[in-house]
Amino acid sequence: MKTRKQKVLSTLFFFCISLTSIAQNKFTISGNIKDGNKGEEIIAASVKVKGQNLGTRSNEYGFYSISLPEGDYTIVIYALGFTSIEKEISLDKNIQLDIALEPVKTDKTQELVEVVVSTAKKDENIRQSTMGVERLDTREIAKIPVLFGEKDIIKTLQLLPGVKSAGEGNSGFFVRGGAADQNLILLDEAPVYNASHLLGFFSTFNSDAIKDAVIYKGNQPSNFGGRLSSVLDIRMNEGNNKRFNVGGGIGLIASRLAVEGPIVKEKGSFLLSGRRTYADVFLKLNEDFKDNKLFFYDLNAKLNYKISKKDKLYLSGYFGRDVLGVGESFGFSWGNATGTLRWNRVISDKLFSNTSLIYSAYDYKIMIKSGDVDFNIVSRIKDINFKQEFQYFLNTKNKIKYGLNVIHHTITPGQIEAESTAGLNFNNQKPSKSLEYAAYINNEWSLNESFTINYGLRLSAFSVLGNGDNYYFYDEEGKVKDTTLLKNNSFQKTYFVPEPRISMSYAVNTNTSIKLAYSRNAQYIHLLSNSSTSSPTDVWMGTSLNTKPEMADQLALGWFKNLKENQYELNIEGYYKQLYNQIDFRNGADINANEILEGELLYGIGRAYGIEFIIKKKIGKLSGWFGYTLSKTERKIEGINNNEWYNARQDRTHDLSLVVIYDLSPKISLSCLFVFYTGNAVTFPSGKYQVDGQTQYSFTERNESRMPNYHRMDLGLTWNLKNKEKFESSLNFSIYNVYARENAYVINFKQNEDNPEKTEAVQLSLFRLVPAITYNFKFK
Amino acid sequence: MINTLKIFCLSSLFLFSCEKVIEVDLNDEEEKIVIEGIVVSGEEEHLVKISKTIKIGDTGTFPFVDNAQVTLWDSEGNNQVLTYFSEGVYKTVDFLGVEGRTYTLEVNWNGNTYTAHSTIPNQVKIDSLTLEEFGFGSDKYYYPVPRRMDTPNVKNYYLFKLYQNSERVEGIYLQDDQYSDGVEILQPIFGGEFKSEDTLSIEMNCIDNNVYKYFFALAQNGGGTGGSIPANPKNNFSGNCLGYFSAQTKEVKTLIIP
Repeated sequence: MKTRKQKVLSTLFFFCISLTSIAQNKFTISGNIKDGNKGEEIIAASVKVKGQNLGTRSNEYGFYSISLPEGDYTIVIYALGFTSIEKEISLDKNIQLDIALEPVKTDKTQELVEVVVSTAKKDENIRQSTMGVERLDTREIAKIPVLFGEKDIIKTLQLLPGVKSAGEGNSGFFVRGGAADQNLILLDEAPVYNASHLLGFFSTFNSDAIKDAVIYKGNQPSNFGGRLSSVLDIRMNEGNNKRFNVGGGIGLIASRLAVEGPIVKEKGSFLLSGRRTYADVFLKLNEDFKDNKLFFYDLNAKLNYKISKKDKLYLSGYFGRDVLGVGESFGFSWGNATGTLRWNRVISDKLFSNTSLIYSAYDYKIMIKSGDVDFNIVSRIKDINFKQEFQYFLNTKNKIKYGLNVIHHTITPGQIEAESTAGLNFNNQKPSKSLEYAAYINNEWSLNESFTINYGLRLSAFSVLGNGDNYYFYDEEGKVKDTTLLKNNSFQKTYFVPEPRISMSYAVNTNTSIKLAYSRNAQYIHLLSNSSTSSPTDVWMGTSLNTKPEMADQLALGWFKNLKENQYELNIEGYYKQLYNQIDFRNGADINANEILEGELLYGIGRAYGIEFIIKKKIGKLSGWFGYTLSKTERKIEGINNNEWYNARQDRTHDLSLVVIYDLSPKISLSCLFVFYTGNAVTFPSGKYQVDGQTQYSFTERNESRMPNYHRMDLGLTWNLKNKEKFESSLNFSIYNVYARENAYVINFKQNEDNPEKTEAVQLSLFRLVPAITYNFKFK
Repeated sequence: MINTLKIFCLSSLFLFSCEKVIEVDLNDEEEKIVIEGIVVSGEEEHLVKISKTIKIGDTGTFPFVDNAQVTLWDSEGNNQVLTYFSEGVYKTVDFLGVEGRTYTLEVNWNGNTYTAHSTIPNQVKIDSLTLEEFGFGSDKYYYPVPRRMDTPNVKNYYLFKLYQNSERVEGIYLQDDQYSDGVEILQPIFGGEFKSEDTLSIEMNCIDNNVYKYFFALAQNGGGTGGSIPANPKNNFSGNCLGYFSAQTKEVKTLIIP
């Protein structure tokens, strides 16, 4: 039945496409759009036909293609931050046209910027059919104040409606009621499994190396998949292919250095960017902490080379690690490594192909040395990933993407590694292996001037492979009831999930549109966390014979309006999300290196709904946004909270953020940030009793209580000191939590020291009034 | 350990953190019965304590139950009704705890019956009590290492109580043999801040799997919002009550830290 259904669906697909592709005498203009200064490809630059509502955008590699009937046209090409240009074209044959855009000079008169951008007509948000999408402007990120002055993509992302920070200074985030592991974070297509440094206070993304970041809040097109709630698609810079640059920054706790330049001028370039914290240097100054270690580093590298007019190769990599140690006896380190090899080929002026081979790994290592006992606990997840995508620019009305993706996962649970076996006798579990695959097709169909539809189907599947180890089945109590030996690399079970996706936009007039979207997403690997804050030791686990794939259906409705000639963007979106096969732990589960871990799991459903409101001003001296979300997120899991619905920990009723950037002069810009949100849902004790001679607490409903409301204000100032031909520099000042609000990080219940019969709630707050200064420079 | 480290990083490095007592809204719950029963191998007097919960905001002592009927059985068919002693404590007389036997405790109170089973594991004896020294800056701390030969091919679970100069050290200390089945166990117990010249006493109980799981869950509760989501730990009683019933071994070793 299933395959029949799929056949019908795919037939429908091609029917829709062929309807609109009735042959005409058409020619194609195609090429690459680049930054004229650096040679970097520009993502999502617009190519429009003047006087007509026809156009396209460049893809992730700067490639564009547009087919038009024979005739004379004026083509307008523009992108945010660049001076738009116009080209006169007489179209009587297929044309290859590479375009170089000049960046807007910010140190010239401010008026210029305004004029340029407003002629560019920023009405993309009205026309695009996709919804729940935000593209982050990397230059904007640099101006927003952040903790310790470390500019951070994820921290900026958390200021958008529908995206919530996992807590004070935390780089984990929740999208529309999803858990932190339900976000797919891609760095040059490679999944990053743990995007946080230093227990969450910094993200792994060094903004020096980042070109573009887009987040899809659940209604992503079908070329993305594998997580329920969101996709954060981050692309690294390619490196200047015209001349060498050295840039960097010196901050309070970390320094950065980036080198870029051509390998062969105009043909290939490289980028190498590094960052390291030096908190450990200060540790050495203190007698009590001098044997301790605490630092992290990141290294981003990218190479690209144009082999021929039609082929381009990219090799990019990321390597980052956190190291923490207490004296000789305890050590802890964790990190991600990713590598992506990509081959772009322009097969024809309408067909673009990208082939990627991706490696992605995350591991943690705990080192324990006490007396004669000396061992490490190591856990790892490793992916080998192959992707093939075709983008077919059929005509001005249809843009088709199709492709496939195969990922081989190897997950090694906590294993003991020891050189001497003193005090140790253990059986390491074998790594679990699985294959995840997907085939997809997606069409962006501009029906007419006002109606666009983005629709597609992703068919994903997951095969559980045997690992030559025992596998357990459990009874309702979580006790082992059956054991079977799974033959190494044998196919045990394959799950299939068809994931239909559709989003529609109807432009009521030139500055108002209504959008509707539905999507189903499936997730096959799960992060198991029994803690209320995320930890590097949380366990990744694949779908298995016991654990089914997680699924979510999301329906969203939006109203988009641009005001005052596109100076202001107002978006209101509502969503409803239903989640299936959600996973939680039994109370008091032992999650570390537990051979019968699945016996500790409980399964259930979830629901999340809310309304998001954002008003943005992108142009002018004063820019920024105001965002507000009203939402509810609940889970219902068999065996928890008497099987009743309860608040998920990411449930937050109100979430508000205000970002204001004011360019005082070409040299100085000021910024201000204010956030407010309802305290997280938590479980406070309701009673107390005595057992084992000690006071213990008793609990009733899960997550019925609330942490106190969170709010704070940050201020920032960016001062461009110099901007000369060969050298530029700037200073960045910031103050985090300027009015020193004591926000609750954790609340502990303790017996009063003077009166042990009295229980008190003790609040731990972290950062009050943290000033920071960063010096940035660049030799050109 | 990770959470301890996290707090250590937060508080020591950034020096921005601060603690204060706050008022929070708390749910009040109805009072619940709490049963704590312990049978010890080699002993003849076993204690069962029955008390009640109080509201979290209340001060004062925990009320005890003095009118319950408490019965103990062993797997050999011996049984006895315990006699009430005082302050909620019921006792057996001449009822020998034997390794390998399964004990059943039944409490009848207010028309409700609470029943639990527990088995005394075969005893693993402490061969010697040594110390592990840890320097933390200029301070030196000692942690006890109860060296012992784990019984092979059996899952062993250990519960410890620490006393510093005869005063109980707060906390729940547990070990199992997941990584050390059948070999000499050398792991220190990371509890207390023992210093030179302190008298260190350690009590080790071999406990069964259910009791271990109970204490493991209880230890995770922590009493704050920083760790795992707290809940009443699952215990070995049928009937809705708090507490546990443990049939266990007991061994105490003492030393004076040089």
